[in-house]
Amino acid sequence: MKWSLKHQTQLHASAQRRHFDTHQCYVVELLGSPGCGKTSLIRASIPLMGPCGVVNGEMSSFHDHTDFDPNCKWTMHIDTSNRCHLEARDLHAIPDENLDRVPFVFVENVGNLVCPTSCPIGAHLRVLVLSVAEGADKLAKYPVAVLAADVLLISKTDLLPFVSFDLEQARRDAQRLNPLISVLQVNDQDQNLLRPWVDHIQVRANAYHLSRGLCPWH
Amino acid sequence: MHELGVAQQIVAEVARQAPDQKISEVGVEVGVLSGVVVHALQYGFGVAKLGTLLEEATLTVATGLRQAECANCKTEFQSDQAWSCCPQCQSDRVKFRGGDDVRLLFIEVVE
Ligand SMILES: Nc1nc2c(ncn2[C@@H]2O[C@H](COP(=O)(O)OP(=O)(O)OP(=O)(O)O)[C@@H](O)[C@H]2O)c(=O)[nH]1
Ligand SMILES: [Mg+2]
Repeated sequence: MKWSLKHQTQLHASAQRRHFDTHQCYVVELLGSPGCGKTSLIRASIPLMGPCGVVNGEMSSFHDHTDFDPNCKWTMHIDTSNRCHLEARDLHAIPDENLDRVPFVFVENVGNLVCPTSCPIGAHLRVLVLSVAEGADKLAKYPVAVLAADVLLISKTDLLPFVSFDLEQARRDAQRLNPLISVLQVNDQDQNLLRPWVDHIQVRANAYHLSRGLCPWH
Repeated sequence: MHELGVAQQIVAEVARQAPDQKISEVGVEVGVLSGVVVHALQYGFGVAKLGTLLEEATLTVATGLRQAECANCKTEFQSDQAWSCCPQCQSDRVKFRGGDDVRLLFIEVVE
């Protein structure tokens, strides 16, 4: 008997992860509801990073496929043709030579707080983006998303004066569900918040590359 | 709505485990945090089984609960909640796990 959905999706994700590893690419996946700020965050983060690539998964448009900072060496748009999430096999479409050109890739999943969470794509780090406009209760309402994430990024913090978002409640709810989750805050204008976020992923990416005897971004 | 895909995977797995056999019933456990909606899965199963040896099969669904253990009073309990305080001592130091998968439990073959 012994068939399980999680095991099955994990098999595909692991295969894709090994593919990234072969090309020595550290992959960060961003997930969150439509409009939570994923594309804006990628755009604001890239100038603070080294060379990287960007993959945008979208259901049926090209909106997110825009020009980024020159640090971004390539972008790729994946049309899921109305599927509500990316699947590991969608990422086979990234050309190998693109993976070889950069040590780091952002993957923006389809804007959806439910479906992408149960479908890992082989990323090394999964980041859940929640904007303060959505309300802190969304973490308790969508626990699957919190369980799937390594990092909770609370975005659009410049809007805090205008909405009632309880940062402490958000942190507490997230860590009760997932004690290992890291909680950070950002907004796409504030360098003082973007820097620690970029440091956070760069430290992890560096550790990844160093453990493979590589020196990225030098 | 990814339940159709899940149903297709279940049908494919049953066909793999019981090749060339007519199936009367398939049992699965759907976790409360699996993200799978049971009635959508039933619907998807009804579509996915058409034209296969599972065509006559029913899908029996059990609920997969979460396992919890209170770090304060050590009470162990099951829950359909993602998280809650300990029902015994009200502590919020409770560790939850599981209930986030869909598992194949049994396959019933037509005699
Ligand atoms: N005030 C404020 N607005 C922001 C911030 N980040 C993004 N926005 C705005 O929020 C809206 C949605 O941002 P996007 O970056 O497109 O969000 P997304 O998550 O990529 O959206 P989808 O790809 O459609 O799911 C845009 O109007 C942005 O300008 C922020 O930090 N502060
Ligand atoms: Mg976007």
